[in-house]
Amino acid sequence: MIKRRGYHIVAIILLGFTLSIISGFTYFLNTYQNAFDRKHEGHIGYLNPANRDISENFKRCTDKLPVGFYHSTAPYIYKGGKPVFKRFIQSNYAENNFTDNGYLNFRFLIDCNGAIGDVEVNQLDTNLEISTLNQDLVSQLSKLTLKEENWNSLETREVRDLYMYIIYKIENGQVVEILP
Amino acid sequence: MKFFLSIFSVLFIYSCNETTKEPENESSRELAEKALKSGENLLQGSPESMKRIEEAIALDTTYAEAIRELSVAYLKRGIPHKWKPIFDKAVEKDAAAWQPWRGYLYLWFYRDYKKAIADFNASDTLTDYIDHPQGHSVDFWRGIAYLGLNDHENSIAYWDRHIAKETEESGEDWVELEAFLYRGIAFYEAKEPEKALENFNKVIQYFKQSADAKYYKSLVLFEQGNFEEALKLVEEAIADFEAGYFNNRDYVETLRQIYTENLEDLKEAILQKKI
Repeated sequence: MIKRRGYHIVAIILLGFTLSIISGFTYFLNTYQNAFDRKHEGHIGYLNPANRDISENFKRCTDKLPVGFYHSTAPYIYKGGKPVFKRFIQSNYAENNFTDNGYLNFRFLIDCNGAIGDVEVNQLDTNLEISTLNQDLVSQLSKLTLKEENWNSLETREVRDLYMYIIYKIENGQVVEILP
Repeated sequence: MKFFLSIFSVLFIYSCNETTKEPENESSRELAEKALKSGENLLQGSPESMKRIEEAIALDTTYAEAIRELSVAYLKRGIPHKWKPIFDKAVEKDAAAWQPWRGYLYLWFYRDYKKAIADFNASDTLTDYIDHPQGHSVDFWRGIAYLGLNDHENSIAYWDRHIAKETEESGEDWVELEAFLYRGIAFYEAKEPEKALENFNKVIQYFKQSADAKYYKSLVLFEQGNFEEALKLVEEAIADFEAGYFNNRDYVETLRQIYTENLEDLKEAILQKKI
């Protein structure tokens, strides 16, 4: 009798334990999915199409948070890997006696069809403050960076756009670092 | 069963008591800390998370941790000019806590090695202990920053200091593998292959799988004409790399990061010589 009662108690504990794991997991899953199933607008990093620097004929596939909204889609987004992207930039960028120092920052979206748009361009000095760099330098790196062929289209479970940013560190007109 | 129900009831009542307890004479800092803590589970950079952090700062404008927290989403999303003024404010409010951290962020997110070193150096006098932003000592980070500047002499000096201290306090097997790896790379680039090998061997001694240590060791042996051993090592490096054992970081590329093609190029070069 005591033995049977013992079994009952163990069974109740196990049942309670299992139920809490299932309910905890369901709660976590729902919260997790809800967190990423939200509109991008209002979040830090949102690229408002109304005031973008480059945004010709670009339309997002969805207004939900893009993949990589948190810290970009690097490194998976570089087609052929980051070394390929670095080589492409280094071999096609003509320094043209530029003397600039600072950073050139691009933030953009790649839509579900691989088109690039909603681009924000930030020209910064060495103190990371908004500044003006040589316009030929900016134009060159803009054209090279925003070529669709540079970027992978990542498989997503549902229709999502992709978020990416690039920071070029410029020293004496040369690209010395490509981040992230 | 009654016993379980009783425990449950006690816990329930206790938890209700905890949540309904009114704060008594709480300082602005305590209220600000509570506001910040209450938003911990919110999605970083979301409107409600930012609002919660701003509320915490409004409660105590000197709360450097909250100011720092406000900057993080800008850092991660790649918006340097919005990250910088906020983080600078955190440093202004509490330099001892956040200046070494700013050095760490300059180092990795913006590759500004000089500014990073300046912040690490400042921490030497701000506190009377060795600061450890993001889990490693400022000497460890200076070893990397000087390597970023290709100042091998200073890089090696900081690695020596860091490794000696860690060894003395906890034993050599507790030293981070990256310390030996980067000291080895600094020696390799300073054209001191034997000392470089000593360091790469240490990494392999303490952790069998390291694509980076094997790649660099293979490179040294290749340059010394030991093609047989170099080939064996680069093949092991490729296997380690494919198994995920290579030096890398979250959010940004690491310094001197190796990729498959570095390994394949080296293997090809060795095979060419071997034939």
